[in-house]
Amino acid sequence: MSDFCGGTSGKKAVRLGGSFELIDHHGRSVSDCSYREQFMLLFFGFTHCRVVCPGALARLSKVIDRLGPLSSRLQPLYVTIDPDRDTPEVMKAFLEENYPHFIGLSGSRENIEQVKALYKVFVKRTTDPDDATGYQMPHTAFTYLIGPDGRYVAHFTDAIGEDELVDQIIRRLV
Amino acid sequence: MAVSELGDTTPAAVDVSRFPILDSIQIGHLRHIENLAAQPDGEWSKMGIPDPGQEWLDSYRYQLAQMAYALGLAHYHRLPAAPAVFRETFGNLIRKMLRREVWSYWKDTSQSGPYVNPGIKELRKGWTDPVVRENIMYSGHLSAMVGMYAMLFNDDVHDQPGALTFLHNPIFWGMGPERYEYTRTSLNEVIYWQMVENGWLGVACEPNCVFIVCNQFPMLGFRFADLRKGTSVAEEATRSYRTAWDKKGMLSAEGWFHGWWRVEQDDFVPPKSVGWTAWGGAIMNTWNRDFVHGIYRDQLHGVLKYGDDGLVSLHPNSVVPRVREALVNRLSIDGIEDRAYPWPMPDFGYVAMLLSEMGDTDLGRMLAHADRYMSPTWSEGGLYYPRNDQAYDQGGNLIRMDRLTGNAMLAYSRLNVPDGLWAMYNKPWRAEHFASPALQRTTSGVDVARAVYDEKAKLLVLTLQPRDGRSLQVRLEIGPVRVEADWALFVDGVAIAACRDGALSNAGAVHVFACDQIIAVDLRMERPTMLVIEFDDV
Repeated sequence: MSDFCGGTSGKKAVRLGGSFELIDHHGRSVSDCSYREQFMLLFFGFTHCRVVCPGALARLSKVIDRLGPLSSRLQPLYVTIDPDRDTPEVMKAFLEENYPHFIGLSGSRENIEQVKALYKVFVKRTTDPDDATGYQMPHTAFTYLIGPDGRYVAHFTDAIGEDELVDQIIRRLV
Repeated sequence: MAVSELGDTTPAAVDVSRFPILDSIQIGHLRHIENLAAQPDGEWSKMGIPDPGQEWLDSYRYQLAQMAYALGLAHYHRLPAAPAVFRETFGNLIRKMLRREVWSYWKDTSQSGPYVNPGIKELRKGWTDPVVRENIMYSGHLSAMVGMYAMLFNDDVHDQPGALTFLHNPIFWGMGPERYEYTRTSLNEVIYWQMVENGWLGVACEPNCVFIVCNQFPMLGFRFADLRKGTSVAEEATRSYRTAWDKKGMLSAEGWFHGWWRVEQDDFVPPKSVGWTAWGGAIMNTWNRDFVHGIYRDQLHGVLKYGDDGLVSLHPNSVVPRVREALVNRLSIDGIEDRAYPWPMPDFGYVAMLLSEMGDTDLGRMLAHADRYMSPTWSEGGLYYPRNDQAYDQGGNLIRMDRLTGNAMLAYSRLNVPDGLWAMYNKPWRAEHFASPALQRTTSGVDVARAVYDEKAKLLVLTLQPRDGRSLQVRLEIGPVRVEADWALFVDGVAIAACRDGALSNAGAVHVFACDQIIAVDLRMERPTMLVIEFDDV
């Protein structure tokens, strides 16, 4: 877990999270309010990602499995940073086949930019001749936990071990 | 010890020569920093620079920060048992760092401009708050300063609400004050999230410009804050930063750090000289020691100028490529010079700082050059090198001196030890250090040359001297010492006081009393004086 994750410094100087409007991988319009009954587990990425996303989604899927019944309090969301390629249909196919815990969120470029800014997500489009469509999108590999009230709770880096991640999430869900 | 034994006993086997002692030059540097830090607010005597806008590399913020780091190194390595010498001065430097004249340049600089961003179509609307976004060249130093203060003095005063407040309230403005309040934690939080947003390549100084050197200082800030809070932000930040730059590539064609990374253009501006590489390396050594040690001599290749007199200065950057080429081809470098070079950057100080951290023997020869050619000056008991805007004397010797080098960098270099900042970062003081006796307060007018607590021998050793040869009455406060602790105080080898089973005995002209875990010693000091307190326990 990163140590700048809320609750450690009293008054926060940096505001994370907020309102967004996107489209889920079933083609439904959703917003941050759509998941208010649960904690949101947010991960930003793109389906053409070759290293970071597959590793992170696989690890998070294991973590969610290990949460057992508690996982019902959690809605895992995979937000694309590459809306040009990641249509709802593409995301649905990608996630349902490989990472079924997750719902994919896509949307207009403008709305994706907005949600990236809310969570201070770094993305840099780079050319990649090995990619069929010619580019990759190196990006932040944080996992964000958002409370049922829509407020930022914590974020976790990709360096955190699976066991610790399970512990950290359980600590906040119960 | 019985009262009858007082006055005629020396502590057994106390060889104080094994404890470090400051020489008069080092004391002079500390005194000068103390003098500058004690100037009334708004008085910047001996700190003025050519640039009227506080934008350039010798600006107040850099002088204040580097003086603070010099104090930190001196306290940590040279006088670890004398917080009394450093606490107030360090605090004064931080207080001055928060003054408007130090950071108000940002309202202009935040507008960006074609120099820093050639792609810009119109200026941005500037803003006052100097730490909320970009400007890591200020916020990074402030983070490092308040973090180091907390580690050294076991004091989180700068993490209290509003402790770091920026007040912009021009007298004739009439629009009410702008007030921006931060704590050490919230300052670090702002820096951290900007690093995240930039993919861990760092936070910009001027808009669009990410410098490697300036992003080293917040790593210190993170680390020292971690120690206070039990967190591990520095570990995350340095690991992520390393990964990001491994992909990007940190070095220029010269083997130096890139000048800066232009974010929007995603390209590098070539370095102006070796300066930022040396400065950055000296700090990066804290978390990337093998890398810095492994590369710094190559980076200085063709930079250090070895004189016939055995002294070392620098070649101007304009001739470094020619010097390097000649050295590679084993040709003479005699006559390769550029006396018209304006020395726009404080490179002499930057390089001295790096050499001090690397433990490089060329440092002594650089300092000797400074002492011979750069007009070392004593003022009010303090030693500094006054500003000199002229680059060379008639003999072709480098004589230029900027305020950063003259006030702070050479002091830093003399007070540092090999891997000194590395040690502070990796072996910081923790609770056990602060449980040991130390000189907590002293009358002004006293210089402390030695202050060490030997945990194994349970000895506190202090060597003090009245300033300027003036005899004066001195009060020393030493603690913490448990009320029930047994101890004996020796002044210049003579037993003066002892405490056994809670009973204090006292003899001679020195008055000693104990209260609230503090031993207070009143004595007349006329010459250098050594105090040793031998504890049975603490």
